[in-house]
Amino acid sequence: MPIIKFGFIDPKYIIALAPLPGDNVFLPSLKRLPHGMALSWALAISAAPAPAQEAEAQFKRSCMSCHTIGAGKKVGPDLKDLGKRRPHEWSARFITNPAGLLDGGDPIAATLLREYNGVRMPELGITPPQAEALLKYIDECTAKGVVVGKAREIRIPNVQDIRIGRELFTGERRLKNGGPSCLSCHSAQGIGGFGGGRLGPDLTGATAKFGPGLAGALETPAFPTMQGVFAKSPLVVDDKNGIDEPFWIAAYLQSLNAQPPAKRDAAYPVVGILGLAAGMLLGGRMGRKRLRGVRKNLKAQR
Amino acid sequence: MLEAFLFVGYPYAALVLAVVVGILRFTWRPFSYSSLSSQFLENKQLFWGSGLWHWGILWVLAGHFVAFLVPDWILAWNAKPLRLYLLEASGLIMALLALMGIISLMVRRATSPRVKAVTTVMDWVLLAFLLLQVYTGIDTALRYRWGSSWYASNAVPYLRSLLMLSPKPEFIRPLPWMAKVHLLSGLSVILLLPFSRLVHVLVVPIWYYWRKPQVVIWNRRGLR
Repeated sequence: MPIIKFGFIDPKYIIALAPLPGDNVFLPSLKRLPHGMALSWALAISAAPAPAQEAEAQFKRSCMSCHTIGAGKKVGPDLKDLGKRRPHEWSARFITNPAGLLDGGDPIAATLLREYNGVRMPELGITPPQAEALLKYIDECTAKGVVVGKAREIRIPNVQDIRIGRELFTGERRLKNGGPSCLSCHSAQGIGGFGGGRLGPDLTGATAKFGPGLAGALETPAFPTMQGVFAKSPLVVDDKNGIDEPFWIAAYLQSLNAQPPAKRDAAYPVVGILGLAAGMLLGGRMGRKRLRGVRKNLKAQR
Repeated sequence: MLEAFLFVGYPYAALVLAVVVGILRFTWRPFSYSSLSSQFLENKQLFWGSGLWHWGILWVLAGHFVAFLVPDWILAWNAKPLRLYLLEASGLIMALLALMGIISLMVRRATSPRVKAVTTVMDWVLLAFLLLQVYTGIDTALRYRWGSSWYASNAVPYLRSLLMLSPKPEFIRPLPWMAKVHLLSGLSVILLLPFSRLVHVLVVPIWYYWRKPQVVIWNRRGLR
């Protein structure tokens, strides 16, 4: 990933303007730059981390919320032996453009979608070279028998879990790492007031869709909008202290499973319009005396 | 490529131009740093237009600014749903007041012959962008709730990354296009700042609040 990301500045111009090693003066001099040096400078500028590490980090960031390698199904399939099940060419196409295959009538994609409760793989913005690296990483892990990620053990939530989950959802109990509450962007049945957020989907039926893998998916959410936020402040799983935020939230959502999605009323815009009317009335009242200048009062005093 | 242009190149271009041209204008034409008030020409509609607009937009802007400086405070405040609703409702009310204000200012500029006579193309460009800015903001607030939270968690990291000179447009990539138009029109308003009468925001005469009152005599003939 090049460091220079300005759309309109080609990195080679940056090199041309940089002083040469040994130069006493700052001298734009592309001509004097030996060819090999230009190349090595270019590499230095766009130095990327080693591909294997990069692929591992990418897997953790983008894939692990729904997949394991060798630890069983989560929201999506276990990716062990992926290279043996399907040609890399197909997998790469699917990883880089899931919607294209899912909507394009690809038979394998359609079967997978049915098998996994209609949960679509999100658009993760993975480039073809990144997909290649990921597939290579999965092959390597398969070959070496390395297990990546873990499928969660299924635990039956109790009333306490559900209550804590609801508090985390609405924000009354802050997420340990300071991330925004679910309510910021999501709604669910039974939320009072103006309801939940609408940037993301209503989560009332999320468990039906994601199945028992939901808690696992929340650990490292790869949903594009959540990724950036929760990479910095992930939900906390701390077995020693009995903290399991993903499980609690999933437990709360599971408790809503049989209910219809939250009603969408117009309370919020109505309050806005009432406030507007009140504001205008107040403004008009406060400005009543505006056309009477101070002069009149001063004259009266004379 | 388009992303790099719109959300990396354009913000820097707008900011750099705003600062550089702003300084040049201040040194070359200091007396042009003004809102070029048209209050003498028309004062009745101006009361509603300007009053509602400034009251509304200054609060909304202050909200954006506070969330930019201390996003964690906003998230902590929003942790109680009631407080979140309070913040969102006040934001919406202020934005609607600003919307009424800007529409009223536009109607005034289009209908009052005296104000029309001193109106330039740039005034209309500026008003159009301000209207777009307020409209897209309200639309985003209504359709993609709750913006105060996800502005603090998603958009502020992007804005800060711009100021830290390591732009990370990926933070806002998944946001709805309406929010992106809001961001772009906001940047356009910053870009227009030194080229229009909007520069007056940089020279608000707040000292009027504590200076001694003066009686200004407009017209001697009126006095006996």
